Amino acid sequence: MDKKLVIIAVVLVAIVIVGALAATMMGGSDDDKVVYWTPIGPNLQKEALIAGQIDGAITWEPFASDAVLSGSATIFKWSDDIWEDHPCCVVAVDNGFLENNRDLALRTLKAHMVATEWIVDTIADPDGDNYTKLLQIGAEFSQRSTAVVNSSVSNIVFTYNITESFEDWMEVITQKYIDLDLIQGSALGTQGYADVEDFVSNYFNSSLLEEAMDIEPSSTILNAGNPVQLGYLIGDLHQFARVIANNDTLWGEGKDLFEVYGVATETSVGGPYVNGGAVMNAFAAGNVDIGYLGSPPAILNHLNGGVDITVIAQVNMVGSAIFVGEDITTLDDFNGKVIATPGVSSIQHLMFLDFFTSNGFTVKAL
Amino acid sequence: MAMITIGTIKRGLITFIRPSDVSLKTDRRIQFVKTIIITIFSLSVFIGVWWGLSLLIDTPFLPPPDIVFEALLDSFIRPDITTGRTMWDNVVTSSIRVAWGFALAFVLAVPLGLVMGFSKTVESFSKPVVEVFRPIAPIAWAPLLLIAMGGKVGPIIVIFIGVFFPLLSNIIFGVRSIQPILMDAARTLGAKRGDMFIKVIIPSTVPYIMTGIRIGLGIGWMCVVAAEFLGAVGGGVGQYVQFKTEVNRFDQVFAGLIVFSILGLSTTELSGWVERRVMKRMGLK
Repeated sequence: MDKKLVIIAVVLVAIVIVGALAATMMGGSDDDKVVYWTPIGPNLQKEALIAGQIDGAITWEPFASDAVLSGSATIFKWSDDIWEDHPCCVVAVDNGFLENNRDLALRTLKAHMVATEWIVDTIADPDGDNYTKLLQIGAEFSQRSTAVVNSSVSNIVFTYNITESFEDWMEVITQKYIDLDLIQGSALGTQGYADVEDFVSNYFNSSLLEEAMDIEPSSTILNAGNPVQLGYLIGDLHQFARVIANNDTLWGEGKDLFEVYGVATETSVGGPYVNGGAVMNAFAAGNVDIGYLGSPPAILNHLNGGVDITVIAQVNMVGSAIFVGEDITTLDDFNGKVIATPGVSSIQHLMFLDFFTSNGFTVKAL
Repeated sequence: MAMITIGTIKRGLITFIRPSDVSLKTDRRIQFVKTIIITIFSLSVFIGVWWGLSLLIDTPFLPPPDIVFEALLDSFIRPDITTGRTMWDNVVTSSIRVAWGFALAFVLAVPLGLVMGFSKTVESFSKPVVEVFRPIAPIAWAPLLLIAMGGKVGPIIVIFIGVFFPLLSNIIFGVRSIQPILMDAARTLGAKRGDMFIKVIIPSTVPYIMTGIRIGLGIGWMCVVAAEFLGAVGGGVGQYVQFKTEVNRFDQVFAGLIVFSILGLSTTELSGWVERRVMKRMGLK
């Protein structure tokens, strides 16, 4: 009996060794260009570059501008140059919350819309008083200088509309994930969708935006003692609308914009989060009612993990970049280099995969 | 008088088999077949329950076994798109980490444990330090070590810590468990301190070292999971599971867990067999 077990164990070890050798031998020719990636939160990427742990990073604002303005990096490519006019972050709502608190969800959404419009108007008038306030609020939230915020907001397109172009992008991204096997082929059917188009048209719901249009401010807080749990990312200026809406110096009477529309909010348990995957996990755990996150994790974790949410608004378009150290100036320089990404479920990671594989690189985790 | 029958002829010598040997072998075979049947039955029941639960609960968090096994096979055949590695690569990386961590722990814990068990002075000196560090769960070190020592060396040190203390405790206990009569007998026969150490203490402690190795290897596999989850560099099964969790590919998460199970089981079975062989050779079993 013992001997048989040993034989099994030895056979297993032999299989492992033979398999590893085979995998190594079949692992591609020496001519392949390889770029390595490692997951590092955007707030630590600049430091990792300075410390020599990575050669570059793909990240969102303000971290790209911060790395450049600190003198540690240069921008290799803006995300807009990789995927023109690509969408990025979205607002999602827990379906259970939406069913039981539709009015609160609509009011929260209305605040998001008004805050976005305020940002757009403010950026359009950089000489106005509000612009100075915007920079200060952004600097305080992101813990970066006003110069960094100034650069960042010029690279981001703030919007809330769910447009046809946005839906087209969501179809492209979903299909890419299916092609890459990051989403199981059967996942659409499991979640009750006929195909990618059906998924996008149902999951990204623009009707709440229309409903929220007519919402008026409220003199009373409708959910006092039971605040809406807001999930969002650490220092992410893509989600500036949430920061502006949460600011209580802009809207009078010491209220923030959510309160102006009658909604008490608070940061959800465990938040702010390092990436959208973490926001989705918080949704799954029931910790988030309404969340700001990248569209890819919202797609991935809904289809793969059945996280029961609906996307109800956009937050921003573009505003990400690949920044690099001094060793990289051309695409070929990436061969053998290590690039940090915010995590496998982020839009930046998908963009990284897409950009380098379409340029003939083999992408490997460090 | 027991009957004997001619068994086999080897190199011109006739070996005889007693009837009791024949029945012993037959008994063992029956027992082996029985164990195999029970094991297959047990695993079938487990897979059946798993299948039933996955259908009943119908959640992506518990994919059915066929989907998981498909993901498992696929992970060995195709390089993963997120990491560029097959499961083979990950298995080798994790195994090398465990081997390094274990080897480091072995090289340090064995001599230190023997000396601490043997010498009161060394024990008095080392014990306070060891006792301060021993209760700290090895996984608690992982975040610090991964940052301080990097994603390559950090995980190995986490495994080292995990293996080191159980091994050390077992060896010290082994030295303490030596019957005084053995020591007295050695002294009576003129053994000096060095002789006692080499000829009495080390051999007597071997079974405890072997048990420590078996326990340590089990803990080593647990530590490699934690270290690879938290940011190891160079792949590994834990890293695979971590990435797949992030994108909610639970079929692949389960595939990774099955690989961990097989690796842990194979290692502990192998060390258990070595332990039994050594014990048998030393006449202790």
